[in-house]
Amino acid sequence: MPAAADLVDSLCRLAALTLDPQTRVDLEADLPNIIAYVDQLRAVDTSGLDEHDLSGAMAQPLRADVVGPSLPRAAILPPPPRSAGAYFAVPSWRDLEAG
Amino acid sequence: MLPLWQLTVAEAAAAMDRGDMSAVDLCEAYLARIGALNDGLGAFLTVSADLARIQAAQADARRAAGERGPLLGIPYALKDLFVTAGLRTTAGSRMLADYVPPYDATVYRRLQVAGAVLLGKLNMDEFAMGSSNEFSAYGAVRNPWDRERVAGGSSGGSAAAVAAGLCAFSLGTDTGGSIRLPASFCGVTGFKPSYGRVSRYGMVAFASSLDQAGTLTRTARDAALVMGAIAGQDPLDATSADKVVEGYAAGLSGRLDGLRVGLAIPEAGDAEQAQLLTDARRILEAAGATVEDVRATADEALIVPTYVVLVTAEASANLARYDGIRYGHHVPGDDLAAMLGAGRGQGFGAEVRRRILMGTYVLASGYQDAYYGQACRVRELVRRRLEATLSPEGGLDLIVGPTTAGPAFPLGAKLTDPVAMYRNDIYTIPANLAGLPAISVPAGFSAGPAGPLPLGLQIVGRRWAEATVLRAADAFQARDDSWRRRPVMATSAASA
Repeated sequence: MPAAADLVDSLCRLAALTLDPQTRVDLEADLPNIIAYVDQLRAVDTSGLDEHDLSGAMAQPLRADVVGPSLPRAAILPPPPRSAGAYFAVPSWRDLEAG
Repeated sequence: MLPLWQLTVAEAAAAMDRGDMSAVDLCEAYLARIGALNDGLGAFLTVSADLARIQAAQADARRAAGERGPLLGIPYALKDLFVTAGLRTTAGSRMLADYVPPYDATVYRRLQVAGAVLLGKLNMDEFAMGSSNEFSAYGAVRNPWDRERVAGGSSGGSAAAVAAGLCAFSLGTDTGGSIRLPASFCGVTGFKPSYGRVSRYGMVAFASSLDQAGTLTRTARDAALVMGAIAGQDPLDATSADKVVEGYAAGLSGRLDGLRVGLAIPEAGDAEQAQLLTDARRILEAAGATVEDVRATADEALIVPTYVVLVTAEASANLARYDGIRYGHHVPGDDLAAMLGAGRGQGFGAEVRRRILMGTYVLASGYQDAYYGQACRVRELVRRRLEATLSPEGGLDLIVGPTTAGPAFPLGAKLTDPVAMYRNDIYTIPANLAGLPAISVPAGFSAGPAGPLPLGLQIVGRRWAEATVLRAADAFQARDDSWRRRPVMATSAASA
């Protein structure tokens, strides 16, 4: 496991979260403790079991897809913060790693 | 007659059928009580008084036209996780502070058909992540029995509102105990059906393989009546089951003859838990059940870590949709990455951020199989173990034990220790992992510093055996009057 500060940095980038300084400090303490707690699972013998066994046991038969009318966009979404005609408008993406 | 807000669902419907009162009378009694008590509890986030008065008048008109129904004119409230067209739905989050949905959750639609009267939307842990209801962006819910203690979560508003007599029943959701734990802490009856029994359409997603809607009521009989309205397959939810919905209320015979019940005795139980189980054995045997001791299923090395990995993984995926662009808290900016990060960082609260990051970790390249894959396999192991016990082959019809490790704890007691908070759900998580129906019923009291604090008894059944679980809970309540006791509320007289 990487150092706590590096771990939080990396996870925040993946999860698109910007944290204030105090929250960062709290998470740098909390996350290693939670990870150590769930590490208990590694000791459980699960040989013979597959990750997807449960989804088979719990699955329900699916109905056939039926094409139907969509709700009007104006009824579904409030006016977006920024728009360009019928589209959402967003600012450009700057690659932070590239500076 | 009792003050109107003290009537059970069954009693209120019977009174209206007799013409002793109207739905409008009942609605006004609850609205007055909400006005008198909600500020001290924080149970309601939105009170839909105008809508409630319209729905109550409609219920009276339907009854005058000869219609009858167990929920016709009965006032209730929804956890603020069920979307309601035209009525704000926050999920307890700043992220959705101004979100007004364009459509109704299926359970709300079904309660409208049944003629129930929506009083408003109830406080909850943000996105249902928590077991104390201290993680709401709108403040903690306080326990009606002792306002310095937690109500439990994440459906804390739903439990506190029923306990305080602010609504006749409520709906909540249960991912790892979020109905049963607050029900136990607040002294009400909380029922989580089998996964797939009640539609999740229109329920804001937390951990989709575990989330299930259910009821909070005074009695198991009331739970059966509400389940009769909301259960059943929904073509809008691919996980809802094509299973026959039994007549739950009609099956409440008060007898448990022929049923085999396993009494789950915790390894580290205290004197209160021992007394609770002794009383449960006596009552269940008096109702005709055969009771035997079983090994407690709360194996912490398996149960809680599995749950933590699964729910954080699913939450990180489900909450990726909140970008502040299509909807959700928006922070203006001229850089997309910075804009997304700031909006999500400010819109989500501390526990949600913690779980998103933890979920991102367990799904990250290189860790996915060690954590998420292993948790899926352990979950299947737990499911097989429970199924082997709760089956015709295993011999048991029900497993009974304490709902929680103790009564409601003081506000703030576990806020700085996430692992301690996760462990609150140790007795309730197994039913979620295996998709089983489970109920918590009031079962005695602990002596708290400010007065009695409720304790809960959990009854877990075989998958799809809602009728058996409800029958056992009703038989218990026919022989134990803990459910009748009400918290002493400082301003009760003003709204009686």
